[in-house]
Amino acid sequence: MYKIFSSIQLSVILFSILIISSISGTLINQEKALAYIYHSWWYFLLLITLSINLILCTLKKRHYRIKSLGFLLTHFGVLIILLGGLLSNLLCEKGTLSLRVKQKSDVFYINKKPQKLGFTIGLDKFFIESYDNNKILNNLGRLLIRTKDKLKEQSFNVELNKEFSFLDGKYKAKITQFEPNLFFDIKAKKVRSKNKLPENPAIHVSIIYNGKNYNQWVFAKYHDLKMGKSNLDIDFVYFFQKHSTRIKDFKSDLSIYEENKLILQKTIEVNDPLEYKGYKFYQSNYDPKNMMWSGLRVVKDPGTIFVYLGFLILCLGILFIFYLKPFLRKD
Amino acid sequence: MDFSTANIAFLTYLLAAIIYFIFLLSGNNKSSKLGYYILIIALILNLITIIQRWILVAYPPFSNMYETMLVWACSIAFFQIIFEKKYNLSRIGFFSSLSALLVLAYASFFTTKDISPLVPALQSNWLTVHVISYFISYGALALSFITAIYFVINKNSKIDFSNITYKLISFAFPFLTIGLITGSVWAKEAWGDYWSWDPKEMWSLITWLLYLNFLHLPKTLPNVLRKLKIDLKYNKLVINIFAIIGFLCVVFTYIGVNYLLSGLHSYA
Repeated sequence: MYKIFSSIQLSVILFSILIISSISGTLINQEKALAYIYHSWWYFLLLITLSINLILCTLKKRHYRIKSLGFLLTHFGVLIILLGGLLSNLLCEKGTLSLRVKQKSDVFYINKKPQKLGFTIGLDKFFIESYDNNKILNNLGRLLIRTKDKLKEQSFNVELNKEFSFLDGKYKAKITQFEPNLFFDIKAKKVRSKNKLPENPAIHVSIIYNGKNYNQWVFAKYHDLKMGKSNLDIDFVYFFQKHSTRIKDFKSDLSIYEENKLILQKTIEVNDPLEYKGYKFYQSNYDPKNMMWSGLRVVKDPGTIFVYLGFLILCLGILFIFYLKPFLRKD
Repeated sequence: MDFSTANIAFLTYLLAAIIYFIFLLSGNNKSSKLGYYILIIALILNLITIIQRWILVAYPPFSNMYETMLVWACSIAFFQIIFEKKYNLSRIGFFSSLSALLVLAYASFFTTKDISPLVPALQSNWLTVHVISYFISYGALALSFITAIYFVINKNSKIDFSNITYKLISFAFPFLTIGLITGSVWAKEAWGDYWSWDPKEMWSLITWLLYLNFLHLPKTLPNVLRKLKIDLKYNKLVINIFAIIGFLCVVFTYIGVNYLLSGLHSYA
């Protein structure tokens, strides 16, 4: 029995079974492949048998010399990778979290069930970079302000509640409200949005000039339409740019809090997650119709470190076998 | 007619192939030398094409089928040039030049040259490391495919093509491994999973396992043949057939999966 389990022939047979079963998994629907093949008990048994075979093959070689280093490293590397995979399978937590701008959460969701994080995470800002103008596009667009004679103009990113001055500092303004699909609710006698779709985007601009306050609603779709009292010698033109399909990147400014104290802040993007207390927050997706939301992938995987270690050891072993050992042989 | 560098490289590969073919028919060493130098020129032109593309797109040009095919043609030519003297591979010069030519032809006719900005997932330094590692291995493996076929067709050649096949695969295997590992690490950084079991990843693993098996065969196959009472002269034949199947898996992983199976790796 020992002879069979420690034989290279068994290794070749096990690799062959692994190859055939892996091929068959690629020929069917991926969900079924996971359920019936890759996460099945027999595939798991195959990997266990391979691990036993690897260990016994390694121990069988009784005389270890410097030339055996590659052999040992490659085998240990694979074993550590398999161990890491097992730990990932058993202990990994993977879920999602969607946050609205300014929203905080102390849970994330695995199959829609909330899981405590042990700390709070908040989304401060979400924005998209576009290839079209190579500038960061604020998700609320841009406001162009110009004199009525059109001789002077300035343009600003639309950011809520951020005061700015224009036209040589004569005017101060603040955008206090954004409605993606504005309509005037006659019954309630107030302005609100029909829904979250940006079909009639509008912003409320509050202006201070010569000590007096003026207010105006400005519409992205109807540049000539203004709502509010403003006899100022300036025009506002609002450009709400629906995000381009040529997205360069989408990013989220995240903050971590513990007991209401700010611990960490980071801007995450694809390929650059935030890590805190073993949890990694990946920029996963967003809602193109409502760019006030950011979709995050949350992963806590204790197996990763073993897998990475296994990768490193395997690489060292393979480089030793194929590039260093031939030189040692010549010596 | 488009006189772009890519087209001139294509024509130069064609010229190299013709001259190597003349060498195959005549055995004239001067033809083999001329073919060798023309292949070097073709490689330089191929490299220039890649550099021009890099300047044009302003990111490492390894993000789609067209760009990676330029790299693959380059890799095949590069290894033919390097190993021709070392392993006496003039005889396969025609096939290597032809392979590089066919890769460029495929890139030209069956892929799009359109420049698309990189999607967020591809904006990573891992792109360069992952793709370059794989195409170094694919270049050497393409040569091993040719030498394996050469062995199978002409077992009595004075040049031991079986041994050369093994050496080429031994050279390529570490890069294949690095390509697989860097892909996994990159996936973890981008998506949170170092392994998603998607068809591209599985076929990369299948290819790696096949070559892993290949590398273990010389230690196991003779005993198996003896137990089955099969003549040991078939040992090398089986090993080289394995090498041929391995390369077919490389081609399926690179091209076949994109068209026939879907998954996360939809860009290349």
